[in-house]
Amino acid sequence: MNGQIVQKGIAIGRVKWVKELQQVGEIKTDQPNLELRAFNKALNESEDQLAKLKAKTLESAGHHEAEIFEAHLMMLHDPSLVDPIKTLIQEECYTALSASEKIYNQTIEMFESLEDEYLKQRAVDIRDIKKRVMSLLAGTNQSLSDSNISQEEGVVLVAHEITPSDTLEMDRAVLSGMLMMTGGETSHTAILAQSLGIPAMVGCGSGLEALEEGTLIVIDALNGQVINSPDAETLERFKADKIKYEKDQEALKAFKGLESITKSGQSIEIAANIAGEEDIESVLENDAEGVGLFRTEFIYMNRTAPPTEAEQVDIYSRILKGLKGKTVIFRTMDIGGDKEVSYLNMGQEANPFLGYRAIRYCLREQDIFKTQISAILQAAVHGTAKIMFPMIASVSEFEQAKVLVEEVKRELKSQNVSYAENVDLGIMVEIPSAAILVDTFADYVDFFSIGTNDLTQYTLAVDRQNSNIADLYDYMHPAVLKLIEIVVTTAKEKGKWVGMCGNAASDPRMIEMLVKWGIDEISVSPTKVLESRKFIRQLD
Amino acid sequence: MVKTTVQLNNGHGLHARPASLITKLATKYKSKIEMTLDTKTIDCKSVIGILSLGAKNGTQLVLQAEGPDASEALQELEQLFENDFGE
Repeated sequence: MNGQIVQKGIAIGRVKWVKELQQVGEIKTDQPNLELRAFNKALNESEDQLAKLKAKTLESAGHHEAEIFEAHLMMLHDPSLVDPIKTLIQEECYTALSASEKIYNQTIEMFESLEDEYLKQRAVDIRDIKKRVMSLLAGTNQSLSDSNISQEEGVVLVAHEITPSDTLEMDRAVLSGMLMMTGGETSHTAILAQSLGIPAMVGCGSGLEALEEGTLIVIDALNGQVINSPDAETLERFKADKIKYEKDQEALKAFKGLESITKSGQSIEIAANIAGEEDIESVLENDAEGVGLFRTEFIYMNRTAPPTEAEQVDIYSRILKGLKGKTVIFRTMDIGGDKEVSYLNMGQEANPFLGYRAIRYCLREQDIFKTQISAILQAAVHGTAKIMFPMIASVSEFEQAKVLVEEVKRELKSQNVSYAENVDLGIMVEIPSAAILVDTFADYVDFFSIGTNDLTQYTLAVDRQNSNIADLYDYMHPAVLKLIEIVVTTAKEKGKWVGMCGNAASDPRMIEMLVKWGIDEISVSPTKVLESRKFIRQLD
Repeated sequence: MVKTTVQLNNGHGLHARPASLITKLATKYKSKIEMTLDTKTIDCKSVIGILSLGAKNGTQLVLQAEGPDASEALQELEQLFENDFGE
């Protein structure tokens, strides 16, 4: 069983399924007044529960998390829920349960149909309220902590979807992990898992149904795996891993707020790679000094039409504001290769990694590209942004992209839209030709960032998705290292800023060489920032 | 009945925080207070109604109120928009 990790760690505990609501359907009553009274009573009890939960959350998790229940309190009595429910009961003789189900479901569907990702997520809030009110009405409101599972072993919550209430009603001392079948529209639960530090995975799929109530399982939220009924030996191994992981994490916290500097005084910026807004917390939490690679293509994925300019301005502004002045390098969309987007109609290719992708696509589909550039420039007034173009092989490609940036600036100016005038433009060095010509490129670009994943596959002619030749893929190959050395040392000679943002950037062997060659920055996964800082501080 | 047009300039659009500020303010008044975006009109006393508009930054909204304290209500709401919800 696999899943998408939202909070790293190892959890060991017994399975506790979150009870799902039974479907009610349309049921009529001949005593609407009794039903109405029952509904009002359920609302009042819900209010009491939510007020208590809010107070408890304020203590156990914090202000931000408590706001979730503040919002629920407000929505609980919202006239657009309460009024139609009461009308259905009084005028059409629905039972309280039946009327509630109908109206809450309509509201959930309404939110799910909205375009705005943030607003879509509000469906989860309504689902949470629906569950609370309907459980009270049905008399099945059993608190999750009334568990007959031995609490010493810890509890792993398992569900189709876990609501924030489910998470926070559990006694924090016994809640060791969380697994959800669904993923995506669950940011609340993901945020909660993170702020409570509970190992959690989402999007695990229906495979979870095999987990029986009360069985002992291990969530390996370091490798994205679930181990059902582990044998004694496996269990011991995970217990040891868990202790070691937690100890290491604790020790790394000491490196927060420290400089990333070698013993001889050479400082290196350690930035983080992000894919969207959901990573902001993690960047701040791990004390990254900036964002060295924002993979903007994720904004384009999992949807049916490209994000509009206004939508992109919103997202990029929130990221820049959320990161409180830290520099963000926006890599313009790198679609194609292994990342497909159906509505862009890029077509099937025999060699997608050598094909029509990234900047090659953007220079031809200029409208989509200019929309993104425009959004970045507008958002950039809220912080410090740099723009980086992917898959650049020739100086002329960079020049064409730069011309389009200037065009966008002129258009914004003529429309009196505010934007940032001075945004550095750089390239990702991932095609060997760009590395070989770094000397020439240095006369044109503002900065370089080395993308080791593609640079390795193109230098060694190894498709990184072909498992037959996975052993040939090696960023420590002397030819790859030689190219990296040329890029870093030449950039520095020419006075240009140079960083590295591929997977290799968090490998201590690579860091040691990069520091020697004089790199300005490495950009790693947020959770690798403190480790890398610890390592750099040990270097001479 | 009083009526006015406001523009949303807070950056994020009408999300939870501004929506709840509007609702809190509207429920202080006796008057019926409504907001319209294009062809959709909602009750400002419903935070869900406000969210359902999905109003984005830069959109224009029509506010209208009817009742004993209608003009005070609109004045205060207008201020809220003008101050970008204190963001």
